[in-house]
Amino acid sequence: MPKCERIRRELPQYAVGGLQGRARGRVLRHIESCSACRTELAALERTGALIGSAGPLSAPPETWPAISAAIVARPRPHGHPAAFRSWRVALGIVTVLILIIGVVFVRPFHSSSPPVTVTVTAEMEAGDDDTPATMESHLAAQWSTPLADEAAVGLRMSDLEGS
Amino acid sequence: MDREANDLAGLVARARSGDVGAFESLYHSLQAGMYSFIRSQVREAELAADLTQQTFVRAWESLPRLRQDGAFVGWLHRIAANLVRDEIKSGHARLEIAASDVLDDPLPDQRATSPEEAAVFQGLKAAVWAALGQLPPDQRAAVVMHHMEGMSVTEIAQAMKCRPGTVMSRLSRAREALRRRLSSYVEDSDAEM
Amino acid sequence: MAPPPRAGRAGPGVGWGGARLLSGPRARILLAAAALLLLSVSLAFAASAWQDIWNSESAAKRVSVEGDLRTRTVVGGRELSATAHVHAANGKLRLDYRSTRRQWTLIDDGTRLIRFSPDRGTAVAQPRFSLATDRTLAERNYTARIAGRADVAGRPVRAVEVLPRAGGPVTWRLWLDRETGFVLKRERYNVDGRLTSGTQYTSVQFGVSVSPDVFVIPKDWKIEDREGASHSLSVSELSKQVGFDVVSPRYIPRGFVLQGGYVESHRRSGRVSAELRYTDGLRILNVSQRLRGKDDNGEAESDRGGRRPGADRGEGGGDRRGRGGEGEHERGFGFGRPDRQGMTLVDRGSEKALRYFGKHRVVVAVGDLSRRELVRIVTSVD
Repeated sequence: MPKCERIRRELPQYAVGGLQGRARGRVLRHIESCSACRTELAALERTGALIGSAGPLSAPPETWPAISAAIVARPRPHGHPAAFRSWRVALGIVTVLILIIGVVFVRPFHSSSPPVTVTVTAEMEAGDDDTPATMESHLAAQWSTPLADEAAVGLRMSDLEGS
Repeated sequence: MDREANDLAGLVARARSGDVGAFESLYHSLQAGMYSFIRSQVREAELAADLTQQTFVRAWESLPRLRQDGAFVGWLHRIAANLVRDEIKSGHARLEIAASDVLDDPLPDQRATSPEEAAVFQGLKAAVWAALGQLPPDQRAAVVMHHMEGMSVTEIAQAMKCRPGTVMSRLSRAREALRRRLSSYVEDSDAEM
Repeated sequence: MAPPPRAGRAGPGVGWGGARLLSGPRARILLAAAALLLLSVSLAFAASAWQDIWNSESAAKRVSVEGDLRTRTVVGGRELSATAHVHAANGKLRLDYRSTRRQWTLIDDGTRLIRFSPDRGTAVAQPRFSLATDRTLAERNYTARIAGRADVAGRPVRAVEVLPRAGGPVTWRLWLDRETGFVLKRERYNVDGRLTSGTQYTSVQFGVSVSPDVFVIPKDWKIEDREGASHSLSVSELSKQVGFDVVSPRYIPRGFVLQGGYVESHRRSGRVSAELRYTDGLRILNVSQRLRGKDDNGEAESDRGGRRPGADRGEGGGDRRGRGGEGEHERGFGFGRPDRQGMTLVDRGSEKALRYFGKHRVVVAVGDLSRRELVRIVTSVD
């Protein structure tokens, strides 16, 4: 079987990070010199990005109220059977204490966090000032970490500079 | 300050003791992923919403049986998968989705900055979901969990009760199939070399 | 004289019968000894692999080098590549890059990182952040193993792999020159197992004489000094410097420890954030926060000519497309506030950046972690 054909069959696995060791090395060496396979790999990687950009979908807003109504109508989740009643009492006391500490010292999580969804992008948005600042800091810190690939970090720094 | 109060396992523990507010927080953190996962397996949006609701209600009821708080997400996926399977067996759902189903998605996308861009994006989203609909269910589930819910291969393996290698295999076969089905979008997007 | 065999015991008589070796207490001792030997050998190999890695770190400072390399890295959906001519000596490094589009130079003179392009005439310098290598931390969180032998740039090398002890794909593959220990090739894989950067020497000479002038910018160049910290602050010192109480994330992934706090300057807006930096010995996690300002409330991103982040699908964000944010709310929003909400994740391959508009703070986390981990981190701040 011609080499390109063999490598092409392995490219999807390579694209999702499923190849290890020699097989991965074989693909990597091949794509360094084969622009057709490199193009195909890029297409596979872009496919991954496209999938991510199409979701996730969100449940309709009326879903939580329906859940809330259903669970309020049902008994609370039970703890352990009767044999562990003393453990349950102890756990209950500890939980109450934690909740008291939480109420006194910490704003309750659910009341301070509105629901959020995550938007995924491949590039930083124009007008976003916060992310580039932290990214610059991250790259500068990476430069000095053990095993840092300084050549590659430098390449990303120049890309960030230009963006 | 309780370090775990605000992370997932902490919320699960609080929900287990009957804290509805903690369970609501869990819902809001996980609803998009669970809905997408279920939506990728059934035909109608309304049915997916209904199954999402049932998943969370069942999770609330069964929480005492969950052995490890940290395993909540995988466990939730298994509840959802069982509910989907029951629906299919009862003949109420079919394991396929059409592009038109996704266009009925009730919440419009607001990333676009013009109506034209919105239309283009909606078309892309519909095409991706239609292409997903043509994958075998296990591949589709793995793709949604990985690309849309951000789950790692290990987390997906735990949820699907299979080996990480099997997950990788599903993801790579799905990637290959989707690359062909979405070729017009893939070849149009920018790629700087 | 050996004792006679016990009644009922199978096998040959007194002597080195194979069946006798495999049964009874002697067999258990032999098996235990074999297991111990295997364990010792494995540990020795692991220790040897780590020793090779730490030797390579010191080699980079000890050995003078001139050579050419090829480097490739993934940024989002793009692949960047370049060649570079390298000079390294006495802990300093110079890389003269060349890509299909342009040329530029990067110098690490030990105290600053300096970048300049011949066509720009201006050099940008920032303090070089120094992090003492915490070998114990790295070895606690990662395991190293010898992966074989090969040749790179015509020189025999030893291949070493580094992977997280908690499980997951290989993080680093390194090819170490057998004579000097210098890293001639390396590959970095992200938390998803994807190859995100690779650098390989195509030619190299060791022990060359490198002039100190190589690491100095020409006198007629204008230098723009960028702010940057060369040493870390405690959380309380950082709070004083930025003028608000810095909140430590209540969730940080296992294995990461706080390395220190830094003041982070935003070049475009002049804002200042408080950054907490964590490390697991090999990876860095940056978590920045600032207080939400008036211009974070109700202003559409499109007003500033860019896309609007996060607030889609009816959850959060009351404004759209140039409107001031008062009164126009998204369907399903339900909270009655026009504030910016939501999270935006930029997946650059080598790392992910998640920006989160919390109730009181804007939080950004950058690191090579899963999306789920980043969400947990930022939501544990606000």
